[in-house]
Amino acid sequence: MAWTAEEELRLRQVIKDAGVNLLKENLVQGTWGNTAVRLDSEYMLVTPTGLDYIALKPEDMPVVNIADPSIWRDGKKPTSERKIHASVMADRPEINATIHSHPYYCSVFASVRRELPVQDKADRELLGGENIRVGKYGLPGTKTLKKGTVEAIKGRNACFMASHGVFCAGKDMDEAFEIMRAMERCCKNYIEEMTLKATGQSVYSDELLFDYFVSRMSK
Amino acid sequence: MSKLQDALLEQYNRLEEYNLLGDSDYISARTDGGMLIVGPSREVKFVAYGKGEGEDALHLAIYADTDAAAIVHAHPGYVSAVSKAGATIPAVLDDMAQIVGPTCRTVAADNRKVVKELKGRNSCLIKGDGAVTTGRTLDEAFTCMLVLQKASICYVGGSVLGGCTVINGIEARLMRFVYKKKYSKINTENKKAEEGNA
Repeated sequence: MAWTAEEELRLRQVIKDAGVNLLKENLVQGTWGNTAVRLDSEYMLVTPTGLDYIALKPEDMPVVNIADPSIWRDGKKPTSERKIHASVMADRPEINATIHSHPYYCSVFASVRRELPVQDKADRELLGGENIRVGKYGLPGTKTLKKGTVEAIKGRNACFMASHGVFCAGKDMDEAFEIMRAMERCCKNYIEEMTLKATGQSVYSDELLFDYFVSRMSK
Repeated sequence: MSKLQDALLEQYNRLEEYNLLGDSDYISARTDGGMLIVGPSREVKFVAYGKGEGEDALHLAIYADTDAAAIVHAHPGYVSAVSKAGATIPAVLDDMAQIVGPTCRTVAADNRKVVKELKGRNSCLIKGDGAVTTGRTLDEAFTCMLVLQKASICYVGGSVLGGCTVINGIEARLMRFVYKKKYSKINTENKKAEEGNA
């Protein structure tokens, strides 16, 4: 074990707090989504499957083997999506924290399966490039989904998972959280910009988008 | 009975918490001889079979002809936009395929058509009147509405990005099958007990 008991306790609390904050900022719904933090080159802590973020206790997080995520100990049964977290951590030694979620505006890009152009310089630095890619579609729990995510996030700190959600990675949980927040904001801004472009209007409102959608569907 | 009343109010408050509250939203649960229903007044009332009118009649008609144990009829913004357009939402996200089903269609605002649509499905959009979702528990009906709102955000928002990519029909049906199997009878029974409707 290449980490101290104090460090593990701290990281367990980091995951717990991240879950509560994801809920508070509407970046996750209910028990969906999952997070992970690296303990060392071989092990990580992940969120358990299907547990409420408020009810979740630091001791509930299982320790999962990164090379073989079927091996785990302590805590409760780990999320079935731990393989994706493990694969990204195995591929990217500089990454120490990962978040997978399905916030609304990121989900729009995931469902369209379209890259997000990152327009702001500070966001490009945070997200790691000029565009955020979409991983190849794969059914939940499949190798295709895992490989698609690892490929799409290469050289970036985030990617979309086709028809599924978004995956963010940072040097620590604070950075991963900031990346998730930036992704949702950039997706929202881009959708609003495209709505204005499509309608020829200068001020965005949800009603403008609704009217555009209704008129488009009735054609 | 009071446990179920509390559960109904809790789910109604969740509509607000999850930004699903629109105009004139109602949640109900099947009980012996009728249903308990809560609306904008936040007062839970019992309505016996054969007694309801308007919104009550819609819920009772669904209970009479389907195996639903709970109903949410809500009007979140994006869901309402799709119902206004009279569109069918295809499976644009994995969780839509799993929890809502491969499609959610719009039907005319006619109780008989809504009931017919809900036989074998647990959601439908009503032309110009939001959506109805059903479940074996209040939690299941609520979750279905939550996912339907997310799918609607994707379907409406995706219209300015070139349109959503629809998940292959076989894969969507497979995910639905696995979800229904996984959301086991045991889970449903546990949830029913929690909500006071065992």
